[in-house]
Amino acid sequence: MGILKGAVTRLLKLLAVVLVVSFLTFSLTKLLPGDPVVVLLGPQYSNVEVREAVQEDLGLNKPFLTQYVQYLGNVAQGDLGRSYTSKFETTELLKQKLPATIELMLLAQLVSLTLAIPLALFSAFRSNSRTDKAITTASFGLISIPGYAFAVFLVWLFALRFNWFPAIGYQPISEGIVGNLRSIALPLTVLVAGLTAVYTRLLRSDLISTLQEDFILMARSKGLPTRYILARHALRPSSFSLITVFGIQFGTLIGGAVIIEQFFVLPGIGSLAIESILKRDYLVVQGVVLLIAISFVLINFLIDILYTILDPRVRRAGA
Amino acid sequence: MLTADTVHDGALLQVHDFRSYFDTPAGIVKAVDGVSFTLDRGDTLGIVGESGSGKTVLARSVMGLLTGKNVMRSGSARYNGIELVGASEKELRDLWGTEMAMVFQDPMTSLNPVLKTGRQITEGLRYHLQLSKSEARAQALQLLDSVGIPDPKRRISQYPHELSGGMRQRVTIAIALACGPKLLLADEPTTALDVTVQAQILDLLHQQQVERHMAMVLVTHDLGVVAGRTNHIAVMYAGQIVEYAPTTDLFANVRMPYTQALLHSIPKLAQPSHTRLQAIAGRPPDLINPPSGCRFAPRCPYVQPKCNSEMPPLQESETPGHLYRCWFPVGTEAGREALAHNTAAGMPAAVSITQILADPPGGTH
Repeated sequence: MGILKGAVTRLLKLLAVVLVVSFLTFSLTKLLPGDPVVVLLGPQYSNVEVREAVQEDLGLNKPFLTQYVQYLGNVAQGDLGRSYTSKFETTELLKQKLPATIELMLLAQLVSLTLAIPLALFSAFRSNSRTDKAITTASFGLISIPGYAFAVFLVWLFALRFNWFPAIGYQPISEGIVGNLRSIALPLTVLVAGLTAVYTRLLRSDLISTLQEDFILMARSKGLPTRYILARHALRPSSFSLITVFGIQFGTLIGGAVIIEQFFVLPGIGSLAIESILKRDYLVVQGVVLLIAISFVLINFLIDILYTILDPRVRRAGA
Repeated sequence: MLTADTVHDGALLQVHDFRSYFDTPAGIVKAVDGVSFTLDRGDTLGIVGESGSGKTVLARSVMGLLTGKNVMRSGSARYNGIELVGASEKELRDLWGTEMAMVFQDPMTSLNPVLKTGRQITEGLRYHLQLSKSEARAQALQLLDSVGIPDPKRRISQYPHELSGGMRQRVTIAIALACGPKLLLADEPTTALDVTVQAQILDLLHQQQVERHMAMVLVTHDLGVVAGRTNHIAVMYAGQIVEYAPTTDLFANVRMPYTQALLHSIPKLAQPSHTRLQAIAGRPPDLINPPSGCRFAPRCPYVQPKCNSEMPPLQESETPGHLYRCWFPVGTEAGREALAHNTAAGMPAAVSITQILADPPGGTH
């Protein structure tokens, strides 16, 4: 029961976060210079009647707070508004652009964890060995290189020189999984390199301190195999900061998506955000930011729940 | 592959000239420096010494638990004829849990906080004895019951933080006993517990030991703990055994000034309140550069010039089996003269011991 109650209060808090974010983006887009009506009308903007008609039509002539409340009401009904420029529903645009971003992000996170956990286990168990030093140095190097620089290098090597992978573009999964994976191989590699490096270093240092614990010595004195001790006794108590950062990295990834998607010309949320900002298509921008905020908040809510599953002591502390 | 049944005499654990050194940036720490003893099946050996005397390192490294590139073990430690020094991790692991097991000092840290107590008992059973899940569970319930945990069915699905300190130590004992070891190494099993629980845990260990005909090494800093519960006592100081004797003989005929000082440092109920505690002045020596003579010499009330230059060997007293490492042993003419000489010279440690010997506090000594 304690867990459920904690979850409910946490959800309410998260709802508040989403509200604040939506308000801030709403105000921010109003504060930014440039009027969407200019973009929409072009030269016709000078015609006062037409301009006011359009403003009336878009609801832009109403007071700020009224606009916001109206927007919220629509959002609650699943209506994020219509793009000023393309006349598409924002939800429709998001639906089109989401698959590429989600695929890239989830794959990047999964692949990074899958690589980082064994690397960190090995590195920590054989700490200060040559392999450990190699892993640590490599991950340090990968953290230091900015993603876009690494991207340039990858494109030069694997797309231009060897022609193994396409340099740009995205093929949806519906058109064939192999082509799809080939199309995201390079952006995925860029993301995975950075993430794996961060996760490996983090988990390694936590594992090293866990391996000093008495309960590890106790587990060894039971005669259990080393692999079992690492996997069953050491990994879980060492994973708390890893999963915290794992959750935060979703946020960083969404931010990073803007650069990566632009660079590799992927039709994702990041590209959509940039296009819409440049066109002053504020409703779409708001939609994108709101979606990002909600997903980030939800992911971290799940991470909080994961904590209580991983660490029974958190359960008793009762949220 | 090593075979287990080559030795048929009573000795279960034979330790000879055993050393355990640590290579540190500051130098080589000689934590255990030439220790020998023999433990028979079903017997109990108490290893006594103050913090830093090497007793915990001795217990852990005899078992082979201390690994790492900077750990250097030498000499010999034979369990049931099997040489443990130089044995591979795999060979040692086959003995851990099933032949020898350890109870650690602090049950707050020796149980894994994120695993249920039941699992921590059953994992060894399932791995070593290939029990099924339900068999292992039944066995775990029985073990918890035998170590005096009420309502084992509830406890088995609880996490360590839901149990009290005494309860947790009972669980670690159940874990150690799970696969039926012949040798139990208990490393200060009561130090971290409330005084009221200490006796219960010691009684439990003793009772289990008798029931299972298990040999036990009981490591402690408290002579009172080992007094009634051991067959032999080894007193350790600065990585060496300085006195080794059958328990009754040790208390009747203390030879080593260090043991005497340890005995007098135990507060007695019969003493009037506000009696000054008899601490042993000074600190154990640096184990990187131990004194070249007797290692206790810098703190010893009996110290003579010879003590600082020549290390006394372990020699047998007139009672067979009673070994000590001293040039001027307590209770001998040489010892009395040395103490009288130091007292006359006004050495504080000697004066205080002389006073105690002349006027035993509370009349118990």
